[in-house]
Amino acid sequence: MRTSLASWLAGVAGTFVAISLLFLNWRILLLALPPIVYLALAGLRPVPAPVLDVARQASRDRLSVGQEVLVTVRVANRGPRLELVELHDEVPRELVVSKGRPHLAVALDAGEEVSFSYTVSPRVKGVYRLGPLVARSSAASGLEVEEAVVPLRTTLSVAPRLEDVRRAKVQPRRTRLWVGQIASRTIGPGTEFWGLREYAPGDETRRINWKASARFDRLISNELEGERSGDAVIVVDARHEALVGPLPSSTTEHGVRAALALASKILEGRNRVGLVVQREVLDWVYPAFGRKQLYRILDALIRVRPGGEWPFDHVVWVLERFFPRNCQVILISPLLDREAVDTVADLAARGFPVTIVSPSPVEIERAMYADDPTLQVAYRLLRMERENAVSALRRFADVVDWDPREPLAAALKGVTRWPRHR
Amino acid sequence: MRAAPLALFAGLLTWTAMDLARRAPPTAWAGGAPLLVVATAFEARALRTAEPASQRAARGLLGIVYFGVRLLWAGVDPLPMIAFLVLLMALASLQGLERTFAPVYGAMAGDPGVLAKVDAAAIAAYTRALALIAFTFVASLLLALLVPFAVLQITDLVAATGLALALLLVIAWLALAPSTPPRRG
Repeated sequence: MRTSLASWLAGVAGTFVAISLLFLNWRILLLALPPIVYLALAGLRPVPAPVLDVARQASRDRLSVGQEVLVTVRVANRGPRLELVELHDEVPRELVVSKGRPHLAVALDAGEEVSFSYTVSPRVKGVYRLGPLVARSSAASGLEVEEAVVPLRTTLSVAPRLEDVRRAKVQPRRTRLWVGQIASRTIGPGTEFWGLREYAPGDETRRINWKASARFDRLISNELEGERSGDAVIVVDARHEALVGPLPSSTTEHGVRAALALASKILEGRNRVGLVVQREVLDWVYPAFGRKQLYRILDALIRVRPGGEWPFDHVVWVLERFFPRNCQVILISPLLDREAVDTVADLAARGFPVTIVSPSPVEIERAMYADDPTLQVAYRLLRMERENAVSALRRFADVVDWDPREPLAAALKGVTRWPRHR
Repeated sequence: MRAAPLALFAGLLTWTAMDLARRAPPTAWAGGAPLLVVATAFEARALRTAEPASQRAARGLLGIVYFGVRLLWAGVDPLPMIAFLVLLMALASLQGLERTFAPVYGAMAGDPGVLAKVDAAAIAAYTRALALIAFTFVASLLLALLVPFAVLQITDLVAATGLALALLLVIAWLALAPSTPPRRG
């Protein structure tokens, strides 16, 4: 395949031929000779097409945002000698090459092998594919190239960073029959003292309250507050309207990070957790217990990309039909439009206890721009509008207004099991 | 790697500026000098961005000014003009190799095995490219001695036009035709 340089040289030669005819001057015709000779010489030695065996190895295939992965590419030449071959391993834009380079230019004898390494670090969570490897063999003249694309792909799954929210008190408000860690305000198996009752045959000896038995002169047993588990559904608002800021630090990315942290925290408390994501499609993970469920949620969250124009009230429809009644809804949304606010009111009216974690779009936008007195006024106005919206929502739900530059745990400090709005 | 094409560009720029100053009338300077400044600006931009389009534009402007001065005022002198054209082609070739190797060297810290292979490939590629350019120059000069014998026989316009068209066809074929297929076996 000829390059654009060949066309340029042909153009120059043609121009000199035309000018010589125009001026009727044969000396000008001589100037067409160098490009013609160069083009002719370049055609004498053909460039062989690369025939390569390629193997790519990544030091890990599951990682989290900011972690580094070392990629090693081994290339073996199975064709004729390549005098100059450029090897270029395609890397998705979201992965930053932090060390080395996915590009090499070498000469390869028949059967010779070469390997090169580079380190990539993802900026945004997602599923990424390294490759294909493009090999471009070129001639010394630069007039001819032969390209081969080796369709070898390596998949990297990049999870969001897991925030430490161990001390947060986010848990389902209503409990079910299964044993868990939430004090249920009913008598049952647990660790906290609830009351006293007369001993009944079958009571464990360790539950006998000896002091009370001595005072009443009959056996008295302790009753404990039952510790049970509940259901929580995390709803992530990843609609196009809810997107503010550049993707790596957008409301959607922060929302996904918060969703993963909360899912992990609630699952640790032996509760069932489900997930609903509103994006281009409405996808959900049905509530379940345990570590496997965390991986299911993680897999769903990794694929979240902002988009979609669906009405947000579809979430209410899905929750009502497919999820347990009265489960704790944890809505993660920047609350940018009226629709999100109406949906919260609708959920509360249908009896769902709602907690809102809202990554503040105002703070995200503020971080994007330098300090400017004019912007300060705009910031104060937007801040006021948001505070009004949040106060209005506090009538229906527990709202966490989260500045994403701060740890989520700090924002969740104010969350209690029994909020004041009820 | 970056110094060689830069030095060559500076040399060609000086040559063109001297030609413009010595051989063209002052009225031509008004057109030629700004073009040279623009060519320098394109080259400076290409230094930062390594854009092939800027490099092409800089080379093109340099060629337009040099050959413009020669064709319009100084008169056609084939030897220096062929030399200038070959040097311009050498500049294109060196810039192409720079685009290939400079990024590779920029990121090759601490891998001596691969670095040695890249070194060997770079030395071989530069040698071949410069040898090809030198051969092109010599072959063009030899052909320049032979062409007049054929061309001066043509005295009428129809034959001259026919020769020009034939040459244009050869040029088009050379630019578009795939190279000779490799031998098998």
